[in-house]
Amino acid sequence: MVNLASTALPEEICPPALVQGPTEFNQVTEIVAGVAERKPPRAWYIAFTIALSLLGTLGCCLAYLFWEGVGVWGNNQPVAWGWPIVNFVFWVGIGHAGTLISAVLFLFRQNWRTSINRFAEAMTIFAVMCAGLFPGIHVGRPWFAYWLFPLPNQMDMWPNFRSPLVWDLFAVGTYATVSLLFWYIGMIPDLATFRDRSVTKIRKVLYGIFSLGWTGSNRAWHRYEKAYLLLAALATPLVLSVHSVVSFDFATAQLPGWHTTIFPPYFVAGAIFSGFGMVITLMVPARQLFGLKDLVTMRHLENMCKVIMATGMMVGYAYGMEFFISWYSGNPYEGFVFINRAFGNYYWAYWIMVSCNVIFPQLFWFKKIRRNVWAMWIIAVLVNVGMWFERFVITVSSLSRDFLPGSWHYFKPTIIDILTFAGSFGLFFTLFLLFCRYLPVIAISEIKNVMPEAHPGHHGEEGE
Amino acid sequence: MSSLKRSEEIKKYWRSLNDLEQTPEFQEMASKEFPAGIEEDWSSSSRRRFLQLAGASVALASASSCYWKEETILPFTERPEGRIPGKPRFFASSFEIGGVAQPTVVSSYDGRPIKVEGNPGHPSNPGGASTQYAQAATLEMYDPDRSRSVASYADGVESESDWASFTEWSRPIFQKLRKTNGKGLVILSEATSSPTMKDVRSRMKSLMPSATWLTWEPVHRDSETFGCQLAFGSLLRPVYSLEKAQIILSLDGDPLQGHPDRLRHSLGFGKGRRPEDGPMNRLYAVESNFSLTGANADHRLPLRSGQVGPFLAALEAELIQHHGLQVPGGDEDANRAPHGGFLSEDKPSHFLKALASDLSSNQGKSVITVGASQPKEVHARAQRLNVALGNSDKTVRYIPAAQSNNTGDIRGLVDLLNRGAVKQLVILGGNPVYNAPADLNFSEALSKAESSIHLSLYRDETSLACNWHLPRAHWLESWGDARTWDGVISLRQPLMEPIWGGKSDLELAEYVSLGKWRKGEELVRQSNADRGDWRQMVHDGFVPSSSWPAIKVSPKKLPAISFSDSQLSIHPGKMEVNFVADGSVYDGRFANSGWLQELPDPMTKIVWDNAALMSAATADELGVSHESMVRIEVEGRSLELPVYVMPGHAAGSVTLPLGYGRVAAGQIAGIAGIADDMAEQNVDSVGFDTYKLRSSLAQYHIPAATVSATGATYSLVSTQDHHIIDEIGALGREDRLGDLIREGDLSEYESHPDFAQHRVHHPPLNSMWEERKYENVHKWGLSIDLAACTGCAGCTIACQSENNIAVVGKKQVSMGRELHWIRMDRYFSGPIEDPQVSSQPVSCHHCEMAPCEQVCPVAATTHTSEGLNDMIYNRCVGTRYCANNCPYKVRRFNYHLYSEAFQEEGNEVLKMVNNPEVTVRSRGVMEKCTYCVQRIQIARIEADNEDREIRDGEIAPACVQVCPTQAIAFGDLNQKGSAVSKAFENPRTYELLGELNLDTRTRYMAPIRNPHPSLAVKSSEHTTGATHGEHQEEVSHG
Repeated sequence: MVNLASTALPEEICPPALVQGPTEFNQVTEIVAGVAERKPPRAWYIAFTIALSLLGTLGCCLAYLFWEGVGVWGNNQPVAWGWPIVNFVFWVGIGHAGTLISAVLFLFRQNWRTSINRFAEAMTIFAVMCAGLFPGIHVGRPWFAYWLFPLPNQMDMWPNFRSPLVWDLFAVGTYATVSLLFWYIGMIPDLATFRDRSVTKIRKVLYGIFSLGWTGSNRAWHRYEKAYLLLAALATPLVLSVHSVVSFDFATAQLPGWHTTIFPPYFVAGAIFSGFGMVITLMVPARQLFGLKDLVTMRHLENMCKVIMATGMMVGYAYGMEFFISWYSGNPYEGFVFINRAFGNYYWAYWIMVSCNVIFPQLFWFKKIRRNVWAMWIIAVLVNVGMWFERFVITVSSLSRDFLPGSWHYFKPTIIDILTFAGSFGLFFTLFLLFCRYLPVIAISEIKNVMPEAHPGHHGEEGE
Repeated sequence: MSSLKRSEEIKKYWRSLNDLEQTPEFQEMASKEFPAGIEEDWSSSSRRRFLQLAGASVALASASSCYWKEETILPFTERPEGRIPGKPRFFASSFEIGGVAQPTVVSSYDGRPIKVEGNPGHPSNPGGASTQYAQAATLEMYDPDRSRSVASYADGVESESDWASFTEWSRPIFQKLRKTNGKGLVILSEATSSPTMKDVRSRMKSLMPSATWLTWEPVHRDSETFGCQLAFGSLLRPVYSLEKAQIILSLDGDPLQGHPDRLRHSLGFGKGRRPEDGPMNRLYAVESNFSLTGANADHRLPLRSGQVGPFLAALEAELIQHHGLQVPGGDEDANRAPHGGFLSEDKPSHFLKALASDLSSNQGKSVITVGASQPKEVHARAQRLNVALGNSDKTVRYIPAAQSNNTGDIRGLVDLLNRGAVKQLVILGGNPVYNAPADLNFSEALSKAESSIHLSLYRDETSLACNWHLPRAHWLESWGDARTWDGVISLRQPLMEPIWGGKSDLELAEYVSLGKWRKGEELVRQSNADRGDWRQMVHDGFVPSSSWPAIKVSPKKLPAISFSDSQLSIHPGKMEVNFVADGSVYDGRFANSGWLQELPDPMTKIVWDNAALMSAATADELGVSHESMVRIEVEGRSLELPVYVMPGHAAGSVTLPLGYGRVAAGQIAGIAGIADDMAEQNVDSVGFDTYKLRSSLAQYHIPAATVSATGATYSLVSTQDHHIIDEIGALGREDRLGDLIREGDLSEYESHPDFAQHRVHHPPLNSMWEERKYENVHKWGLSIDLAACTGCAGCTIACQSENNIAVVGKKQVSMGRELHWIRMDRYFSGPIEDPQVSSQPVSCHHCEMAPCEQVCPVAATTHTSEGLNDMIYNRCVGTRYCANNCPYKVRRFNYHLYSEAFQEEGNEVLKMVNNPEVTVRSRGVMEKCTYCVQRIQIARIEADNEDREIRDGEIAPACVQVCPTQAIAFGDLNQKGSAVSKAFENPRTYELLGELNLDTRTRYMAPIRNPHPSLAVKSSEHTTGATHGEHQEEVSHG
């Protein structure tokens, strides 16, 4: 590895450059735009075929669902919320890294974010789309799901604003809107670059439309930076709010195992945790496939591993604290739920969750593992698995055994549950692969900003 | 078909001599000219078409204007005087199972029967309750699988026919039989106590003296009658008055659930379970199976069925030798009494001593009941003991029993058939091909009859084996009568013309005698007219003062009985097998009822199946576990069926419920390869046909059978799994059980009547807001007295019938999606070989601070001004959040379009079963108990019209109305002195999960056990009362 900027100084004093390899601005443009302009590698086609067939599966599952009713899933009494809600929370969680990386790290001037933020934002948008799918299809009569919106109607009937589901709708809706805007605004200069480089008419027109007549003038840059900053400021509280509100779905219920005040911070930490897990899961193969190793460097990956480790420990703390509080509260129902989680009929799910979320990320203490793409990829995938199981444990195991043992019942998913979940990955990857193929996967303009060339003589500082 | 019908005053018009004589030709012509039989088109026509036809029939009838057929249903184009459309009318009626009448009141909406309830005015039914069979009657009546026409069978080929063809074919045959005094004519009927049938029979006897009349009822109590004969010299039936009993001993029976008189038993038993209403009774149960009676017992001793005789003999000896009881020949009997074996074990001997001391110190206030499966010798001894204890005419009275010998009759019939002595066999109801003892090979014998006719509701196994099938009129469609258990003649009136043109057994029997059809009404009236004012009797549903007089009995010396060593031994080599009537499908006749199939058995909670019930120890010994298949071999016949490990079942004994494994029942219970053209419509049988093991000489009890594991498994579905529970779950359940069902001993109650309110202590419950006060409005509330509740689950099916609750099927129940609005939670506690059972009905608690309402995003569940938690189906989008947030998990979700069955072709008639007052729910909406809000509204409208307040007790939700022990009270909590407000003030009343601060409108009253002081095992030990003691200081009481 060649470190052009600071070969002589130790890393603590002078961290390695964020961009390695290209020394010319043009090279960056070439690399990133090349992804969209060249014929994609064979792997892209294979992946796209798989994703598309999963998407088709999702379509079939949804058709069957709408035809037959939500009974095609394994939901029952008492487990009225099953996989669809687990999937919803899972995808919303994944959608967290994008905003965090884009907005929070932007505001905190964490420059290393630049080469991964576009990627993470795209992931956010698509994950939120997947998440948004589930509450809609999950209701018993999806054709009336719009009643959750506060639409004026002749009955003067408003939604019940006391219901966390309504808060949820606003929280996720706001988050989706702001994330989309943020992503799009940030992409405008790069879309203009694509437009300028377009050789076909159709590309020229489409990129032309979406780049909103970007000229690259000083005034345009000025406005752009202001808008980006404002949106970042707007999006930052959302990082905390979305998953907090999602956690209210559970926390405000009186069900033992749901009714806990720790949920909002615990959910947010978990969401960031799973979001970073997903970024690594996607980034590692993508940088390989599209030749982005110089832009998405080992330092980026290593930083993300550290975030995973930190949030993983927060989540682990929450797991422990839940146990402590359930004991400390003296509430026998609460106490039972947690013992039951760990040693009862869903013990396997609980221990999958604990090992994937708490134990395996501890391996990131070792620098070797933090810098080994294979190891980190495997751990990141396990984090995703673990986080899915976390939602499963919270949702299903609490419901399956609540207050009255007479109503206890075991939950088993059906094949439709499984295919629908797999299908949601189809939707996610289809969109993601299209994004890789047609949009700037890395923020070209921002990358150029953090290159040493942009600041002669001033390493690691961003000038106005 | 009201009691107000003035048919006899209507002058009969006729148009020709043919008309007057009602010749077949004329009838045929008339039926073509006047579409009186429009019902026949329903099978294939839509509702619209039906209305067209109905309209046309009125038009045609009025066009002819000089004639109308009596007693047809007429559309309300001309409204009869006094009739308000949509307003239900109520008619007293009754039906008969096993020769015992069950008095009912049937509600009729615009001419269609909708709901059957007990007849509270009937002297045999003081509680006004009803059985699950009464509750399920309307579904049976509207069952689309019911036979819709006469059919004839030749060489296994079914051909549709009609009554005219049958009449044409049969008239000369019966004419010929009359000429030969009826030689070769055999009538096989179900057990019946109908006075009209008795008259029909005697008319037949006089016309055809050589005809034979036999009776077969697979579930009978013949051994009891014969036992009384043995003890007292005549055929008698014991009628118990449990309300007068302080000490009740049930020997291998189920007086609270399986007995024909169980409603009265339950009512009487329940009266003695409320500690504030005077001294409590004490129930002892000695039994092999875990019956509902055993579940309610203060002390229960699991013994093999074969050990009950020795136990009773030892008990008698104890009473004679140690308590000075006088019994004829008692000393001899006492000396011969068995000892050793199981009797010398700790538990049985302590149990026996305590029981004997209780019986002897409560003479005249005790009662011993014996189950049908015990031999007559045991019955005789028990009844003699009843008399010796001075219980006769106090807690038990003896009334004359009809001559009944089911075993002899069915064996006799098969003998006649095999000898070729049967020319014409007429089977009035019943299903002997399915349920006759297997050793008799009934179906083979049946084929030897020259000709056979079967009258039944369905084209069942027997119909298919006969030459003719005749559709039977349902009891809701026909006239009849029968006696209740204590002998009161109960009249039956139809609520409707037979939908499918069926005839009643009375009509067919009379036709066989006379060769002409007479109307059921005429027959019943002829038999009963002299007994009182006919219209009054039909209105009331019974004949006044018609109960049997009690017979004075005196105990006799009984022949000695000897007991074998294996009976006394604790571990006999062979397994005994006992048969019981199933709690849901009875003897199999109700197998095609979805409501009954889906009604969880009160003890096993199994739905849609039967299983071999055995104890955990027996299962271990056989090397099987829950849901393993076992092969049971008896006299060379064998059957494979799954095991259900029943805690508390006697070891070395297997109980087999009857009534399953039907092969020609219908779409619900099974159709298997009857005819080639129906092959593709085959439906798997529900459950296993245990009749295959039953033999004519051992109908209830087989002392030695071979039971072995097959290695296969089967999946049983129950609404409450307790088998697949892991250790943590079991511990958690045990920990909280005492908080949920706050059971106490009588002594505990006497020292702390409000003990239940102190079982759980929690910080003071405050609201953050000012809560609604519900002043100056009705404040509906419901109280369930667990002391009286036996756990029979009658409320579950009553609610299903009232509230149009869909049947979801076995698979959906296995996924946990049953829709019952009120479920019966049943918990075991204590050791698995001899546990205690606690039951708790749970339905929506109508919390004033309802957690479900907070979380519904579309406000589909909200509170009314009277505090009801309402469910607005058409607003519900189905997020199911409310169900998650309900701590009682009583909300039910329509995961599929469960009402789809109504849309299927051929099922149009099924729609009529729905209560028009209640919405039929669509897919994707939540539903739950409404406190029968429709009944509240009816009462409100009535009270408004009469300008008065709603009276206490005027509103009875379906569960309240059906409850045989009157354990449930409903009413206005704001009304001083209302039953429910009094119940809420009772110190035993507690709020389930009160610590959640929900302020529920449903409250429970703590159950009280009344153990014998020497046997008391501190039943409160399993409660967590003690663990909460430490919090007492920090909590304000009350």
